[in-house]
Amino acid sequence: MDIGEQRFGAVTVLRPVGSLSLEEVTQFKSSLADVMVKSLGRVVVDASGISYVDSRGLEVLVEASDGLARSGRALRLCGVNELLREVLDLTELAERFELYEDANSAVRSFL
Amino acid sequence: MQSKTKKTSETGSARDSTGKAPLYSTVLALGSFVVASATAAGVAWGLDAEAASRGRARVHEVRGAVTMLAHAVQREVDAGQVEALPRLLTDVATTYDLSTCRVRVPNAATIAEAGMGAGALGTIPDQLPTGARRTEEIGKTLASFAVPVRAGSSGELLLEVSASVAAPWNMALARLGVPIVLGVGVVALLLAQRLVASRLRALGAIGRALDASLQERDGGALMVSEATGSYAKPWNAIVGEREALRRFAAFKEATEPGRAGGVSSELAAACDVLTQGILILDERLRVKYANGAAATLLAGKRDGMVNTDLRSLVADSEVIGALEGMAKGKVRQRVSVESSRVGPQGKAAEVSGERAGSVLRFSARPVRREEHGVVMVVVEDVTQQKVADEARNGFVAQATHELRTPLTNIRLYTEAMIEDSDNAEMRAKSLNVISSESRRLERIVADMLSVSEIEAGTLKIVRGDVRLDQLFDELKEDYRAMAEDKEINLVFELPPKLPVVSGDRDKLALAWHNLIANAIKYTPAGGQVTIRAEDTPGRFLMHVIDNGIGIRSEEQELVFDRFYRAKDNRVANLTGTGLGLTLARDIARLHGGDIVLRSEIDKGSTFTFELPTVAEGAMARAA
Repeated sequence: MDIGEQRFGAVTVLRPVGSLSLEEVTQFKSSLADVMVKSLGRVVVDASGISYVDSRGLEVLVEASDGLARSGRALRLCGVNELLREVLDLTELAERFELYEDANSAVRSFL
Repeated sequence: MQSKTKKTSETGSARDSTGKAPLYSTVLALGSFVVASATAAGVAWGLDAEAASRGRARVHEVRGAVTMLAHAVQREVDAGQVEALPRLLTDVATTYDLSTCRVRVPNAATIAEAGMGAGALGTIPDQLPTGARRTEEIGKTLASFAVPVRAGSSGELLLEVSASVAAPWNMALARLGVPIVLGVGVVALLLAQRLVASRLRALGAIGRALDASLQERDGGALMVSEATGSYAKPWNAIVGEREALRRFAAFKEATEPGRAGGVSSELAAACDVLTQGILILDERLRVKYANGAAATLLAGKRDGMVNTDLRSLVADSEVIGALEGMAKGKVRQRVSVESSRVGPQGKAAEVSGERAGSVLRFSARPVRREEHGVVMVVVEDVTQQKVADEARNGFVAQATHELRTPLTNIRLYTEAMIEDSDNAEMRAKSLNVISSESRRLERIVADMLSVSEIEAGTLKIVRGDVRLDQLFDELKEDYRAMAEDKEINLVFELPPKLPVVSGDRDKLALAWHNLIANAIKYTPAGGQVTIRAEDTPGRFLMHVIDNGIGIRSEEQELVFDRFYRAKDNRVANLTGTGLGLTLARDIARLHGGDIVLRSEIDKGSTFTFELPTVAEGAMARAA
């Protein structure tokens, strides 16, 4: 899995490309955790490159969001495509995240 | 409320004790009396029955003895052994406790008698009356029997026996004793009741109080009147102590927030949803409370924050100094310190080693407490604000410079035209410069506007059909002169037929202008810039290839950051806002594509603008 990492000022935007499922999710999980520590939680996950997500993938996202919830925040997702949007709605997990249209507006929410 | 209930319950129990006790005693005394009388009557009846049955048994016994004796006497008389009769009679009389036992001529002299037999004839007279009959007289105390005994042919003798059948003397004594014993018993019972009643009253009152407290849930209801007896006083003492403890606990809970409890746990939960960290420090800067955000910002974990020395979490002496002054009560107004050196000693180094160290703002305020200093600190992560501020300041400086250069040129050439208005050649040159400089100004303003639109989240693309051949013609036209000026070989490698794509024409033009202008700007004289277009299935690729100064690999991502300019001395001499690439990438992404950079320092760079053409693009091409 290819994980793009881009910095917008002090905010890191992670852009996993490919399917967020069983095999590839470990790599994403570790880079997310790594970035989370380094940038004190100033992380945005750009979901526009995610072509498929399974329960493990969702679990990683929810875990990250729950970790942030302990300090009153939630994981910011942007560019959520139709598929992921539907999955989040069906599993009623959408309200666990902060959803933004694109990376810029997600990054701006840190100001 | 409490004292009122207490009062009513006390008076209630007092009334109970005074109103019920005499009635209770009377009933008890009356009951005892009835039971005693019944017992006495029963015993008396039993004794009577016993006496009657004993009397009957005695009569039977005596009657049997008399019959037996009559046979024996008959035998002796028939045998003529009259002298043996006294002995026989004495034996029987002694054995059966008979009061009289004699044989005599009816209504005349006695022939033989039990005992000494004084006055007895000892012989049977010749002439004897006949017609004697057997008789029985059973009295209350005495039973008398008379049985005829034939004496040869001369006549009949009479055997007379009498015996006492009265109850023995101890029966009468028992009859007298029973009421006495019962009377004494009743008196003892009443005395015991009097002794026990006082204690029972207290226990009863406590029981009623317990019942009442079940309904009232009020400690005061458990109090009982001390008039109820000896147990009331210690009981009230225990209840009073419990009540005092309960009030103390309630008071403590109400006055000490942060403890586990209904309201304070809600408060703690509320503090945990704050994005700002909240710390409460004691006078020695130990953490007394830290909400979730504070723990995450300072330690990265929640556990073990309480009682940790803040100095182990924050290495910045400026922050510690400010907080120390406040904790010791020297500083009483609000203090706000920003620090980029956060985390414990080892951690601070690790964090500051990062590309962009985080900046935390500590705003502290003393909490007024009589005993000692307590400090409340609000910790905020202001890194992004800091970065944005710096960038904005840099941008203003850059933009001023960028705007000033074309403006200066325009002013100089305008002045030159005014001074030398007759020189046609000069005028033409000036007008050209003014025209190109105003286009440059226009582009700078467009860049700035687009960036501010991105900043405000209002940058939108308006899709339409974009004729790429026209767009490339414009680009060729715009940059030919610029490339010639810099002696750069500008090459367009375009396929014979360019597609029509779906996109925002103005935004695409802006992005591609920026990419080509950058390539020309950062390529030294004599270099080459190639614009190569590729129409692959699904996406259109535009490569901007230069053999210029190149970008170091560690800076390749950063060049897309807003206001970022490469840390290369060769770049410092060139003007630029640091917005061009940011804008170009944003535009590519808004179109669903991206910009990919491949570069090698001193060899040159290739920026590839990917534009998806599937779906919308396909329709446009069909048209």
